[in-house]
Amino acid sequence: MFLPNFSEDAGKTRPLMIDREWIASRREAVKQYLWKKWNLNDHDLEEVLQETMVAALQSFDKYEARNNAEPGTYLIGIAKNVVQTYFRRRDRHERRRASVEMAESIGVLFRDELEAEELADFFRKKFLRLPKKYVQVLRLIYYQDYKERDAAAEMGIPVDKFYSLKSDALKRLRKLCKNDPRLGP
Amino acid sequence: MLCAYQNRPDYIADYVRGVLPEDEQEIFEAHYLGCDECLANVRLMEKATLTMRHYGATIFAPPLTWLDRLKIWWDDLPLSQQWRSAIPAFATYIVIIGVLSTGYWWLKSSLPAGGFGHKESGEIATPAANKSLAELQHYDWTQPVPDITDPELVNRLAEIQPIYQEKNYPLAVERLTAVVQDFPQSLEARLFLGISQLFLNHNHTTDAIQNLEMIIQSHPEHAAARWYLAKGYIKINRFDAARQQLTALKKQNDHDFGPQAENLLAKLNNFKK
Repeated sequence: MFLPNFSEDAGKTRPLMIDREWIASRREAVKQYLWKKWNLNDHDLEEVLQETMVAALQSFDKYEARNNAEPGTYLIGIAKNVVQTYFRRRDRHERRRASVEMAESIGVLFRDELEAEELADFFRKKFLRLPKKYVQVLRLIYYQDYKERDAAAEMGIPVDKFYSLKSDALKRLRKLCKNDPRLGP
Repeated sequence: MLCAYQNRPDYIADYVRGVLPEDEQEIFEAHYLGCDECLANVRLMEKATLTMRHYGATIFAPPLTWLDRLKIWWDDLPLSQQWRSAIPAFATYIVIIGVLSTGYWWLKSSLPAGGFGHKESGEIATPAANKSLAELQHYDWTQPVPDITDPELVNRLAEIQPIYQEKNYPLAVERLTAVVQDFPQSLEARLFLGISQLFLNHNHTTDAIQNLEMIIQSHPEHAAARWYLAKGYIKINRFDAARQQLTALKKQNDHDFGPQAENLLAKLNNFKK
């Protein structure tokens, strides 16, 4: 599996540009992480998010990045502590195990169900312009939940060819979605 | 710093699907918490993945009809809301105008002279305008059979016959007028004079009618004269008179003119409705 290379100056300690403004700007990213990774929703999500942001703002000046760590490592460390304390207080552990469902994404990812339906319509139209093989790849993986090996067998192509097709299909998908405000940042 | 995941949508998609190994997940999470571009891509893939999974039946449904494709094409056109409203309205306007014009043209071309609301009599119509009703057929003059056995009449009719057959109606009218003056009792000469006058031009229609009426007065059973008389009436828009002649002709059960009279009468009656 591909791993990005951040090890240009591995082993050294270098100061990270973490300050109050940067932490405040990462609020949405932290929210995404808590929702996706820790299966938090609604009130729980807001409470943990708030606690994480406060904790991050309180202790960033003490943080010292090692091994050229990403700045997000600092936030993840804090978020993990906060969420685990939160779960301990409520005597439960709800780290996400299954895939995200549509119902729990309403209000977090999607504004409402209407937006999700609009996006479905958008994809239907856009997919008409994609090569059939790309659409077949997307259907097998994202709708029929095939593993890559099974999907390749279903299409009658080698697995490495399937990975290549999938990569191309996703690049095209990203290109199609790039300028749509519903899918933008 | 250049993002290491910039061209790796498949990697981000795998993270979203939860198929990355745990350690890689954490590395990527540490990255996207600090990277706006990757956060945007994660959210995009989350939305796309969820939408495809939840609405896959719709998204991956079989191909669309041409009407759906037209709608999609229309939706994708980079038009402002004003143009989106204006273009269909304008297109509808064009279609309505087109339908009305076609209808008008069709009605006008299928009606006799004058178009809508014209008077059936007392009004002169152009020959072209009532062509569909009053279109004249060349009545073949196969062999002069003069009803008066005067050798001079026989000779003169024999001379005029080729002129008529060549459709040189002005000359035929001139010669036949002279013959009729010399032999006023000759039905044959008067009949072909009347027909030639009908063919000639509109100014001679009244003369043609007079000649043909004279034949009918003395010989009511003369089918050809009655047929061309009816045509003459139609040329000057005297439709009731034409109907009377055609009805009489129909009753005569003439082998040649009976069926034609019936058809023309039906056309006239339809026009009346």
